[in-house]
This record gives sequence, structure tokens and C-alpha cells, in this order.
Amino acid sequence: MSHKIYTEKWAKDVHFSIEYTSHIHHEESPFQTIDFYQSETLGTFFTLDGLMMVNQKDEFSYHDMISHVPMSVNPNIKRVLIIGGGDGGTAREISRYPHVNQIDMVEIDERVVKLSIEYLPQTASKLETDERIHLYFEDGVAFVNQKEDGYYDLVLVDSTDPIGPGEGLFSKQFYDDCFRILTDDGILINQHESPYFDRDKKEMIRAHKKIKELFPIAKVYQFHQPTYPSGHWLFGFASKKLDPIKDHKPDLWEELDLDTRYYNSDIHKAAFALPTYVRKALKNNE
Amino acid sequence: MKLDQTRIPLYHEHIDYVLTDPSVNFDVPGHKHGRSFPDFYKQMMSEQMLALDINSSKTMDNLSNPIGVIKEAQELAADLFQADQAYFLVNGSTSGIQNMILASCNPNDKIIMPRNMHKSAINGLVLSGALPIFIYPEIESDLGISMGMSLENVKKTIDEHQDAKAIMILNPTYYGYTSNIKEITEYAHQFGIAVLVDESHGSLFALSDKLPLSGLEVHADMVTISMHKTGGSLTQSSILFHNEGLISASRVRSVINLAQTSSASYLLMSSLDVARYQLANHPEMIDDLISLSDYVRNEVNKIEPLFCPSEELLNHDTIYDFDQAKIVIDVSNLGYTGFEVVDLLQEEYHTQLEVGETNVILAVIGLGDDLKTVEVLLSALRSFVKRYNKKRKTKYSSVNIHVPITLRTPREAFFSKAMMVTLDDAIDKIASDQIMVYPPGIPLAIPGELITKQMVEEFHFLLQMESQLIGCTMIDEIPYIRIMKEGI
Repeated sequence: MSHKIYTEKWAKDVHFSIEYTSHIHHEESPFQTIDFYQSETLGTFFTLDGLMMVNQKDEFSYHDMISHVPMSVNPNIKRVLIIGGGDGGTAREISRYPHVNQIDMVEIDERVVKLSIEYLPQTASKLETDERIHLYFEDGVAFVNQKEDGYYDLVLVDSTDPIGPGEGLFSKQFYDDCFRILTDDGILINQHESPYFDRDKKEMIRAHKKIKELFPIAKVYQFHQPTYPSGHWLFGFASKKLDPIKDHKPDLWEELDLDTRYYNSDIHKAAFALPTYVRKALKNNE
Repeated sequence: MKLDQTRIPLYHEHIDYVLTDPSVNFDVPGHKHGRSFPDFYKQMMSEQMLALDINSSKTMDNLSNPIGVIKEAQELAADLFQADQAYFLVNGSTSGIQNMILASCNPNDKIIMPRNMHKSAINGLVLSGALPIFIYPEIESDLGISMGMSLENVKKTIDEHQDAKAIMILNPTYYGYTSNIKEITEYAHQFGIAVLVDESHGSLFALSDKLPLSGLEVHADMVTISMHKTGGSLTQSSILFHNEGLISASRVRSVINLAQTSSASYLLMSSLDVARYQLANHPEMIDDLISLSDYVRNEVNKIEPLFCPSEELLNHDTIYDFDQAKIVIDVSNLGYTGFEVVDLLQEEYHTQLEVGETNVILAVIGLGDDLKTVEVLLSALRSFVKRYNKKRKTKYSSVNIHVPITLRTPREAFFSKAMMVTLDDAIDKIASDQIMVYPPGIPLAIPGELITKQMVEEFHFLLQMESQLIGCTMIDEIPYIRIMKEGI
């Protein structure tokens, strides 16, 4: 077997490598470099600008945790905005809730969506079949800026890292708009980077600081994403009044009988318990 | 009456067995004549009463298959109330109502019933799998309470559902109002439909010509009375009467034994025997109760602006007759709701009423009342009106009647998977729980019924009016109800 290896640099001297069986697709979109690969262990996976985005084997942890945590805190979510999420996995999880009426997905790069539909139906299949999902191929920052006040019950920022097209999604202006377009019961979940390697840690602290200044409730929760740098990843939970633990409604969620692989009502609570070094890092910068 | 009603066989055997029988007990209950209870409890409850808490035996008979003193006591009750059979119940009239439905209906059989029936009837539908055909009672708009069924409506419903196995009649409603039970029974019987009477609130009807007609006086097939409510026995003791014909005695027996305890309390059963004895031998007690109640009604009507309705409300149909001992008082001109008045009467005057609703309160006059006790009630009301009269009218929000669309039997809906959704998301879904609204104490939906847009609008309106909605949960200030998961 020839050695075809994809390598991602997690830190200046730490690397993560996958031996792939085929390089399915490569292209330069107007926004970023997109590559799709096939691996024996991880299945199909794709990278943006050389960073692992989604693979068939562990995408469930990310998509479970970004979706079901807010959905089990506010069981009356009707309108959902997904910023990014071009692979469709987040929209797929949200679409499992029958009471959701509208799922708007704003992805800057149409090519990511088109390629995901072609090569990664595991995550993208709902994008074309669920009538509640509306796709907008435009800049998320501009989209939220133009949206009316109090429109969405849930905003999910399913973005890449704050370098390249994801950058604006970590700005103060963007979070201001998110706050404004959320209802009083609204919840904002954002991709919150990782506490472990320095570069990710810096972004984690920056994001938390901005959100904390805006939202009365701003918590961070963790999950295990083996193919993301260090495998230890975070989401931010921000809202105007609902607390992710005090207002958690496990009984209602359990009744929905959703078959999940990562999320469950015990994990929900546990995810908000952070290691001491993470707590310190977040607290020192408040 | 053919039997000697001065006898109290169960009571006497009970006392003899405990007080004079020299046997040492090696059967249950393990407290052995109360000896293992702590002293404070023995003193409070009296050692004698604790000793009277015994189990069934050859001497004391067995409620599951009575062949001795319980049988005799039941025969005396049947004799007094003029029924073929009487069955003592130790789990209240709830079990009686459920037994009546189970005895007359198999799964998917139709049963006609008024929409304002007790929750135990809905539970009886869940247990039996019967399919309810509802008749809406009249809602008296000034009082805001539900009344009887109109005869015309009953006839029309029977004509449309001639295959129904049973019809249930509420005799009387919680507030003491009755339907034309005689003609309803006669009409149903023409079609071979069994007549089941929920006479929980009318235990004395069969024993007095001055009270409304009893189901027993019109030869209904089964009648349940709550002896413990107004008949003078201990709480939880009721009697189920059966007249043979459409429903067999063996079916009734086996239905009763389905859910009845095999350790029935002798305290409860003896109290039924004694209450029957007293009613049989002291009919003047009922006459006194009626005079006393009439006195109370007159006196209440002297207290402006209270109003205590009586004969003038009767319309020979949906308000065919009324129970004088239920003192319904319209308090809506005070500017308080009935709920508030009941609470204030308790807090300020130590006077506990039966119930309050938006426009009315209900005081029950019982066999144990006399001029002295009712004077407490009257002076409390007089003083209350002086102190609290806001001199304006509280508004009653009337409930629109929806003809229910039944898509599943209550049993199917009950045993299906359910989930909570917001009211608005429940439109076009099937209810899995009962949703009740007070006033007027009528279910808006029962398990198996379609929740319509119109119904949801009604819910929202009622919530705004601060009506009491049971079966509706507020979560983050949004109303949720439980629906069947199937079909979503």
C-alpha cells in the first residue's frame, strides 16, 4: 500500500495524521481550499484549508452536542438559525424535532454544501429533503446584521476556526447581532475552540470574554471530538434567561425518544463540569 | 322491605368477634389488636378501634366471596334501597363507577355518557377499552356550572347509536342537579341499553320522596352510591347496586373482584351496615335534613347580594330536579370568585365548604348538621358579605361546546407513547391526557380525542381568564399538554 497521508498540525511540534485510501476531491473555492478523502478507519472526511472538519466516524459527537443541549433546555424552539454548518449535520439533528418550524442555514461557501451533498450524505441528506430547511449562501455576519430583532429562538454558530472566512464569526459586532435577533427565551451556541493547545486556547478565551459581556447567562461545555486538536472541544451556551442546568428539561426530552449516540441527559449535566485548568483559563480573563 | 331492618349483622358479629371471642390471633394484621402501635397512636385512635381492625375469617366472612355476615348485611342494604343485589365497596364510588362500565362494556363497545362525568368514568373507559359517545350537559350561564342532559338529546344520541351497550347518568351533578332519569331509563331500555347511574352525590335519593328520583326507583341496571358522602358511613365506603336483566350477576361479581382488595377493612364495612341500619330505622333524619337545608337556603337568600337557587331554576329537562341538601350559593355579585370566598371562609371563619368555582360556592348539609352548626355557616356568610362585598360582578367566561372527534378509544390513547408539546403544536394531534376546565368542570379533551385549532384558541382564552386548567402544564410560562406520539 502506498503511503498517502493527510497531516494536520495541532501545535508547532504536534501532528495528527490519517492514512487515507483515496483523495476524492480537491478544489479552491472562492473562500477556501476544500479536500475530500476516504479513510478505512474514519470513512469519508473533508478538510477546509487543511483543517479537519467532519468525518463519518466521529461527527455524531459534535452534531449531538451542538443541537440537543439547547433543544432540551427550551422545548419550544420554533425558529433556528445555523451559521456555517455546510456539511448539514447540525441541520440534520435539529430537523429531528417535529415542533421546529424553520431552520435557516447560512453558509458562506456554497461549494462546501454541494460537495457534502455529493460525498457525505450521512450529514447532508436532510438539506435537500426537509422543507423546513432554507439555505442561504452568504456571509453570516451580514445576514445576522440585517435580520429583525427577536426573530430566532436558537442561533447555532457552527463555524470553522477564526482564521479565513470564520473570522467575522468571532467578532463583537457578530455577537451583538446574535443577541439582538434572539427572542427573550433565545439561546446562542457557538463553536468555542479548545482549551488545550495554545492557539485554540487563545480563541476560546477571546470568544468567552465577548459573550460574557453581552449575555446574562454564558456557560461553556465540553465534549470529546477525537479528530479535533487534542480531542477536547468546547461549545459556548449563552442566553438571556434560560440556564442550561437549572432550566434543563430532561423528562420532556426523553419523551421524544430520539436515538442519539453521544448526547444523553446525564451527559448534558456533566458537560458543564469543566476541568480546573479550563475553569481558571476562562475565569482569569473575565 | 321484606327483611328485618332493625338487624345489624355485620356490626354485631364484628364487635362480638373482637371483644368476646377468646381466640388468640395468629393471622394478619400483625399489629394484633393494635398492640404494636406506639402509645400516642393508641390513645389518639382509641385501643378499641384499633382492636376492631381485623382480617376476614370464617366467622367474619370475606368481601370477595360473601357467604355469611357480609352477605346478610349486603342483602339488608339491597332490601332497603330496593335493588336485586348490593355490593359493599371499600375503594369508594370510583370503583363502583369503573365496575359499572366494566360490567356492561367490552373493548370497543359504545357507552353513552354526559360530558361532565367524574374522572373515574374516564378511567373506567381506559380500563374497559369502551368507546365513549358524549352528550353535552346544559351549562347554566349565571352560575357557570354544568347541569343535566336534555331528554331530546339523549333520545337523539340513542337513536344514532342503538348499538350502545350502556348509558351513564349523573344523578345528581356535583352541585345536586338531575336529569329526567325516569324517561331516559325507559328510552334506553327500549333498545336494550343498560342504564348505569352515578349516584355518588345522591345516596339518600332512594330513601325519600322529597328528594329527586333515584336510579333505583326507576329500575336502572346498576347504581353506585357514596354512602360515605351523605349516607353517614366512613370515608371510602360505597355501595354498588345491581338489578338483574341486561347484566348478569356473575359478570358483576367477577368484575368487582378484578381490582378490589382481598383485605377489605371491617371498619369501613361495619360502618356501611350501621349507616344502613340508621337510615332504615330513622327516616325522620332525612326529613330533618331537608327542612334544615330549606331553612339554610331561605336564610342565605336573605343575605344580599348572595343568591341560593331553588325550584325556580327547574326546567323539567336539563335541570329536572335538585338536591335540597346541596347549598349552591352564587357569590358573583360580591366581586370575588368562589375560589377566593371558600379560602376566606376557611381562613377568617374556620368554615370549610365543599368546593368553590368562579361564580359559586357549595355547602353540603349533612345528617350530622343541626341548627347550631348551620348557624355558624350563616353567621360566617353574613359577616363575610358585610366585610368583603366589593359590590361588583365577577365575570364568568363561558365555555364553548366542542363536539369531540374521537380517533382512538381512551384505552388506546392511554397506552400509547406520549409526549409533551406546546398547546399550539398540539393542533391536529390526539390528546393522551384529560384536559379539564373549571368552571364548569367539563373536560375539553379526553385521551383519544383530536385537538382542534378552535379548541386551542379556547384554551388560550381560558388561560387568559385565569380559569383552572387541569392537564395543562406551564413550562417557562408556556402551556404544554400531552399528546399521543403516534401520527406525528
